[in-house]
Amino acid sequence: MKINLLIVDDEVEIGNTLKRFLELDPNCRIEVYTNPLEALEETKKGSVQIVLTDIMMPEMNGIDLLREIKKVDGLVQVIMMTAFSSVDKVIACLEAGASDYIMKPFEDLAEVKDIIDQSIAKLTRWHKLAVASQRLNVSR
Amino acid sequence: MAEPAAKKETILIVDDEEDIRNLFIRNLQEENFDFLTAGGGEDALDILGVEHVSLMLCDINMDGMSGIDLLNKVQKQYPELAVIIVSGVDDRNVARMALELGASGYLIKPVPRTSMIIQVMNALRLRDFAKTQEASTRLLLHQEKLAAIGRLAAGIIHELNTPTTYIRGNLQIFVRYSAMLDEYIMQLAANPAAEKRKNVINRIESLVETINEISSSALKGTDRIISIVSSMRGFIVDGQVENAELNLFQPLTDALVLTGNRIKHIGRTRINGWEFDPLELESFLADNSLMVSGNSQRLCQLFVILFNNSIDAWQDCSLKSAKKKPSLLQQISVTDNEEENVVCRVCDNSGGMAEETADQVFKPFFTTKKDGKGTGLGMSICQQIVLEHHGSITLENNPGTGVCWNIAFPRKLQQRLKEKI
Repeated sequence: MKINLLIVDDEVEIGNTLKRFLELDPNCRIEVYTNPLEALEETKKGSVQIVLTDIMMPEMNGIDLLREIKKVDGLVQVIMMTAFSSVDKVIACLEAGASDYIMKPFEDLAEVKDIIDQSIAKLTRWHKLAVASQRLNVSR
Repeated sequence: MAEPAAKKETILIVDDEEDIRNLFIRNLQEENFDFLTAGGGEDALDILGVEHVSLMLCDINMDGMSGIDLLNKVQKQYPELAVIIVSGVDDRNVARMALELGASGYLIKPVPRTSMIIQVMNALRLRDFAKTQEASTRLLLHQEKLAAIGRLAAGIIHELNTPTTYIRGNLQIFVRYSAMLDEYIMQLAANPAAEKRKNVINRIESLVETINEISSSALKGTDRIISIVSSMRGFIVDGQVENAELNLFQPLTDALVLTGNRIKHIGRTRINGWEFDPLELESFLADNSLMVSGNSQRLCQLFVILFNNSIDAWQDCSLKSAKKKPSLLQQISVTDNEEENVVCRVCDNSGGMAEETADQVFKPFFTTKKDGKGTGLGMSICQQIVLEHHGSITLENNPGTGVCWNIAFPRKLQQRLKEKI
């Protein structure tokens, strides 16, 4: 399963760094956005499965972006990135439907990949489930 | 630092007539003081140099140094000494002048005993009160400074976190890539068939390309850390700032010279209506003088930050609008018509700020400059410099037009009085 992943961070270098690493997985297609509003527009097109977003951004904060994305498509997996100084915000994010969170600076980029892989696995399971239930409906 | 209550306060009586000195001692004898006497201003200064005196009762009319001259001298050197002037003339103007120069009391001869006791007691009480107040002001300032350092530290943590994140990330990728490179090189060493060889070389080439990206990104990160660290130097002053009496126009014009290169192509500067021209600097300075107590370098740094901000804002602003913009005009006015302060107003026509920006200008690390051009520390440094000079800085923001910075410096008291006398 090919995964379309958006990285949203007002610091373009952080986005590019993550993109470089995550692209080592040939199944990931990655785009970097520094403006969350543009990222939201892209998500509305319906082909994005995972969004990795920073919380503190000038145009729109990550929590609002998360809420907007969840309104558009509840299945999109949104993973929050946060500095250790704003841990308290993580709880608000999880309550608002975030799948997981990553602390900055990243201890090990491999951990970032693990978290994304978990989301991919979740999506794959849902996909299989949806296909199976569809078959069930047809056979009824 | 309360002194033990039992300790006697020492009163210095300065009068050129011995009878008067003795009379004053008699007047105050029952009040538990120690006494020293001096026959003139010079003697008094000698005594003050070696003895700890709480209050000086000083005749106004003496041979040699007058009481007012003596008051003037001791105010500078011994700010904690209370002074009561004793005069033979009942002149409210003289009394007023003595009080403005810092005397705590004014007595007219012949002095009734009770009046003298009351004035002495009140002068000492006033001095104690001023001491306590000064201590609490100092404490408050210290706390404010600590709080500012705290805010700054929180900002630094956040700011350093970002480049650290991508430098570290890039290095982790680099480690992976170097392992991959290693493997490809091994494959090449095994002398593969032409087709595979070409394939491997392509991969190596693409790896090298990414490695270049990685290095330049990591370098950008270290540059950013360096610029944050070097701006932090603006907050650090080695020890106490050395203040001197200086002409405020000096650091102002220094800063204009320093930023002159940036502004000359895009605009001009006016000081008090005078068109700034570095070639006419000397004649300008000869005609204009406003003395403040301060540190020339620090004040110059303050103005450089303000001017650079105006220039940056003007450039940003001109990028946004396609229409031809008027050239940059910095208008500076320096006035001393305020009672307590010298006020320096620095205005530009660089478009002003959004309201929410204006609310945050003094916040460390807050910046609207793009592409890492600003560290967001400039205005915090300005504020710090103004505080060092016991002044104040406020922003007058006119969105769409420009900004005006109002900087007030307290005038030297002495200078103010000299003008009045």
